[in-house]
Amino acid sequence: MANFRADLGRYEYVRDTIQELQIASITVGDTTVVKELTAFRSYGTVSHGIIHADHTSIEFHTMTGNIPDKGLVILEDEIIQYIAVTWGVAGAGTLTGCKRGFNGTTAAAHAADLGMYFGSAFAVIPVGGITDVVVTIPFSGLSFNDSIPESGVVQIADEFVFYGGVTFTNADKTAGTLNYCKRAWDGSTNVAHLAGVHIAFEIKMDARERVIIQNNIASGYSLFIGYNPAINHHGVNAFKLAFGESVTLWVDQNTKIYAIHEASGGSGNVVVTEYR
Amino acid sequence: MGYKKIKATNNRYEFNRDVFQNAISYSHILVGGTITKLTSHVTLLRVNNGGAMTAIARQIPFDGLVGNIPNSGVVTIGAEDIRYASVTWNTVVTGTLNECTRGFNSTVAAVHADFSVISHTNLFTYRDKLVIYNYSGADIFVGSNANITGSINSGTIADGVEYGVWLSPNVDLWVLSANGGSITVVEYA
Repeated sequence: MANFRADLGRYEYVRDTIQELQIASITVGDTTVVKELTAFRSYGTVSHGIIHADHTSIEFHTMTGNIPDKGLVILEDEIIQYIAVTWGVAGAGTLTGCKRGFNGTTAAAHAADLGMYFGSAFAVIPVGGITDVVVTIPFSGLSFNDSIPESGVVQIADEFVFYGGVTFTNADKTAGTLNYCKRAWDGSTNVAHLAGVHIAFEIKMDARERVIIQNNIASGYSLFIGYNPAINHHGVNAFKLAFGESVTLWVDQNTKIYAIHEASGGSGNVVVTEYR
Repeated sequence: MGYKKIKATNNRYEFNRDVFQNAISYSHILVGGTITKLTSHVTLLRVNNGGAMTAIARQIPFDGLVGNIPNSGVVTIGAEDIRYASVTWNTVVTGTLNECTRGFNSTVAAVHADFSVISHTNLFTYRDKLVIYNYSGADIFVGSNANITGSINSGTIADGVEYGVWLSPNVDLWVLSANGGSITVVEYA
């Protein structure tokens, strides 16, 4: 596709050229868990090797899921901006072009094998912590004030939490509460979190235009897909995707897509492709 | 599909013509030989608040959902319309409507008894596309009104086939199945 130079000194491409692409495999397992399908969710990532405060390349490993090619990650109390990823084996690689101490945090040395959390914004659990069952979760120190959606998903340590509303409690909108929460979201486990534990807000592909879902779970097994969690493995409120089939959905970045395996005890991968 | 705004990455608004910004999927259980209105049907659920719900309550726990509701929208309890901004789901049929605006559409906020019926009409203001997935086990017949007899005044969707149509929210569809069975409808706006 040809490109042409537009105003403001940037290049624009004709309408049907893909400008950003993300492909991820997501494990869908068991008929009791409705899985949210998103290409930007990572699990279990830890740093690899000792990291000094001036390092601009940061190794990671043990990751499942997938991450954007550029973005933000938090390691202990430091937010790091990276501009590229060099991949080694699946689930391991190096974040390169790192800008340390991003957004006013302090560049610091880090020990090996610490949890790394990717997100679009970050906050912390305030003094007092939270129990494993509370459904109103306080936060403070939001990295980008007034930058979070009214509802969405956050990662707190290894637990994912859906929230249905936000109330800010200070004038600059860096502190408040996540309301109407659903703990243990997306098949994770609800646990108590201490003060200072980081909250990572989910990453979305800005201006997403298409999602392709391919059912690779297992030969002979269908997947049921819907647009909220009110679906089940019998196909209620959902449409079916047979093994080996794919479907292209023209939905924006705020439209969540959910899937469930049709077979009890079943498990397998769904390939999610997002692009714009 | 209309010209609607989406917020682009650099805080400007761009018009996008072919990306849907809302979607809902819901099932119909058809009764053999009975004509069913496919769109704009009323979904029923009920208040499950553990007691009466005040006129200022901003959360509405519900259960008994039959059908589906969008992630945000308007429901009716008695004579009161209530706008909700999000849903926290507990199960496929239970959850909580959040951030409710009471007395919406110039109705009057009122106290509602526990187990009061909540109704919702599956209607997007700007519905653009509708897809019907026929899982009923037999042909279904889709028409623009209830004057359907078999394939008379209707189009046929075979079992296992999906059918998409670009349809505004002002146009409804009816369906007839000889054998009953389940179908799923997806609306995009």
